Amino acid sequence: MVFSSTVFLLGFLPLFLLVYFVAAWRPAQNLILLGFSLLFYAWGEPVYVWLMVGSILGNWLFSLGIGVLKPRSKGAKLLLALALIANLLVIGFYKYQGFLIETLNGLGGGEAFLEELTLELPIGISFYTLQAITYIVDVYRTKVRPQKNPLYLGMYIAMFPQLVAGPIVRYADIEKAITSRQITLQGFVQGLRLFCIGLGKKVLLANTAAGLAEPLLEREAAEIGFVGCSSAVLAYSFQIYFDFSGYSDMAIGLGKMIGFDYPRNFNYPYSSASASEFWRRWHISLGSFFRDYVYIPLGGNRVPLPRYLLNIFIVWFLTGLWHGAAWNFVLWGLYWGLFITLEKAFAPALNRIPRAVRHLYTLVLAYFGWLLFAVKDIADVGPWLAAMVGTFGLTGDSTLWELQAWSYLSLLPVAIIGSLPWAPWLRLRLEAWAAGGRVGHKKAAPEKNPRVPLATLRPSTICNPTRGIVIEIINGLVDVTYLAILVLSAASIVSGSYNPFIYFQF
Amino acid sequence: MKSIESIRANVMAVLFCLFVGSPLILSLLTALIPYLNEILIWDENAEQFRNEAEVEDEKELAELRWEDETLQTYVDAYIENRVPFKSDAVALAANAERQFIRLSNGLCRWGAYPTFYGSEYVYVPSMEALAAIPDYESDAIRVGIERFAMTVNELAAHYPDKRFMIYLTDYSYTARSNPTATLVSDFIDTEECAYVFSLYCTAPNVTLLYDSFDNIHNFYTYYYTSDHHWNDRGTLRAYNRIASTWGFETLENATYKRADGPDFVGSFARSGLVYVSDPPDYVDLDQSAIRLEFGDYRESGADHDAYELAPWPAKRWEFYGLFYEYCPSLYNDDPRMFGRKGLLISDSYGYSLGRILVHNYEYLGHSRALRAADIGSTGFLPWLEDTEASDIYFVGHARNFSTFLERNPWFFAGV
Repeated sequence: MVFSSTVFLLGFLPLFLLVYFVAAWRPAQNLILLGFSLLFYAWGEPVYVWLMVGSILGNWLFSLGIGVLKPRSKGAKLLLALALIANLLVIGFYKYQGFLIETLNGLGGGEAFLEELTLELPIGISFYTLQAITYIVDVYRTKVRPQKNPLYLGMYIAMFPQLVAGPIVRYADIEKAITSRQITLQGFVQGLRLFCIGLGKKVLLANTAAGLAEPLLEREAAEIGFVGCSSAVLAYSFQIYFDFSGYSDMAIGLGKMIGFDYPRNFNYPYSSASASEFWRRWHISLGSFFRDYVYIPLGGNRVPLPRYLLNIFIVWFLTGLWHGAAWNFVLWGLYWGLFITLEKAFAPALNRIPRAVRHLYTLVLAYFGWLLFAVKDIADVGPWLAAMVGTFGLTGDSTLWELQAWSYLSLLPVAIIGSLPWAPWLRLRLEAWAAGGRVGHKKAAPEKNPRVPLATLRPSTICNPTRGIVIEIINGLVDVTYLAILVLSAASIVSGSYNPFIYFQF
Repeated sequence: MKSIESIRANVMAVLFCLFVGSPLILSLLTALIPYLNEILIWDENAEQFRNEAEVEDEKELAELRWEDETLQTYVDAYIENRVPFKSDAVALAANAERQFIRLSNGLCRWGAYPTFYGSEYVYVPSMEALAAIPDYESDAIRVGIERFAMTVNELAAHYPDKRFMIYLTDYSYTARSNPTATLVSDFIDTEECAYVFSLYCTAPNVTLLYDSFDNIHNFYTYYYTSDHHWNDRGTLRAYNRIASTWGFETLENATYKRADGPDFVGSFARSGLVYVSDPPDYVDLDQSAIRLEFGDYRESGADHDAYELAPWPAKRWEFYGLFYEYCPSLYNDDPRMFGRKGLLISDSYGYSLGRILVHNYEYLGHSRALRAADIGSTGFLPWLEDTEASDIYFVGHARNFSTFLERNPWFFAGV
């Protein structure tokens, strides 16, 4: 089941909200959430739901075992190692055995001496496995106490808002909320506003961009030429951003509606001025996972240079590999690792370049990065790059009309505006205007666990009633917009429009 | 201000819950009060968006299983079938996309643009009409037509005393007047298809006729703006060309009448999600001597029971198929036609033509084997021997001709 489907939006969600809010008692709500989450997952994975249940029980037992032992003792280390191996074996088997066998067969030269098991990839296995790993490691590090109730742990791991596409929520973020979360009308409505934004991003923008990108990405570069290849990658750049960030917004919004406060997962990455900044704004929960659970334990940058470079290599190799079991994803990860390393090496010189130029450089980096990400096979990268410099002519074997890129021209400004942080910029100014002050020039200190800002204007003070009325009118119009987005998105879903789910491969 | 915020929050929450809960609320209400179904859920146009969901709705609950996802599919369909104003929602989504495409076309100024993103149909603003986007491989069409033409030629050689006619219609996918004809990289037009026919249909008793309009205005005079079929004028024009070729009485002065029903919104409009329509006109002929027989069912040629008894929405969406209902056996009680028998093998273009063509025969057998969705229910040779027909017509569009033998490999068995 996906959020942008009729059965979820008009069946599962209203039924869940009804049952959840009717049950006023917290333990009952937790069980309802677990039950509906398992139903949500089993809807599309009637067999693999048991794999997830097994993962929950296994991690629960491991965490209890680690919890009873002395912190950081040999026994605890051993249990941690076993838990990590078990989790990684599960994801390795289902996600990577095919890739490994294909690679080994390729190295063997010609003949396939190992037989690949054709297994379906369980949806969301990459997300819930990483989530389980953060829990186990945090228990070991005594950051959190082991959850004695397996149902509550199951609720955390299987929680449907973030189960299939993140964000990767740390147990510490929701530990208190399990038993004592605040469910308020304001929180519910803030959540539904965010849900509407996310739904619009996914259905209206991402799916539309996918309508251009995906058919072109299936074709040979020579067939579609410069226009086809360039527009496919551009469309894919918007598709993946709106799809992923939209899904995260929906997940965070749904969490808010039921009393959970998930951390932010995207922060306008296309406004970045460096590769490092891009990865502080793109899939924030994944970046912080690899930072806290791979990079820092390996020593981070507090090691000699060769080891530091190896750490970077390992982190970005794994980042690429996590995204998909294919060499183009690994190449994509290493591509970003390389540029981040180069930026660190040349930071003083780079910081002297105007931000606008650095912004453009980052967009170009992201653009060619998505080419590596989007191609079906690593062997296609060369021809696609060749097409982008005109090797196969403007439109290859096709005509400009039938490539259909022209029909998306009017959406380009919408996609660009949708990717830029005009909303927080405007909110800051409007709230300052309402309070009778000016926007301060002091930069706020970066938050440790940033949250998505409120989707409504809430100035700290109102300097006069007229400005207050204007603010309320704006808030009212914005709410009408959210509802319009909901209606239009629902219309699009119901019409059976093209609705790809990128994260089936993750 | 806090109270205004509180009011807004309450309104947002209520509206959101009502919106997402509407199918479930309506299902419950209509289960308790059935007559509410017609007011609240029934969507007169929903039939047009009937898909597998409707079929799944009829399954027995006991047959549904979780493991093979038949239960999930059933529930998905159950909810989809209870979405209020679904056809309006579909049209809204398509219309929104079309506005963006139209805006984009404002810069490019193509003669036609897709009706929504990913549509197989285009809107032609200059004619307020719809056309199809050619999506075939020309070589496959040529090869298919060659094979068909050779088979008919061989058939004609076996039966030198019989007359064979191939009528190739100017289907949108091969119409030279289609604005997308010059915009796509692989296109074969009707005239070129006819040329391929002419290379292989060399027997003296085979006649080839085809429609091919260079001018888009002429095309839409004879073909619907919202559908893939020829209209009443196009049917009459085809008949008159056949008649003048084979010496039948032509109907140059025939008049037209309008059926008692809404404007026709054809297949292109249905699939393209655009409300383009055509008047439901038909050729006004004296059909009192014509009888139609379909198994035990009998109807006078003057009647159009399927259309007259159909609900209003069906009349709008399915005028062509309902008004010119397919019938395998058409009879003419005019004694002047005694002994004259013909066979019509066609796709759906034959539905309207058959009712005029039968005026020249005592009996006209009609097989719709040429139709892409159909396979012939009987082999041709036994049918020909049985009916002793002297005139055989093949009427349809190029794609159906090109794939006919693949779909009906045994139809001409014995030839």
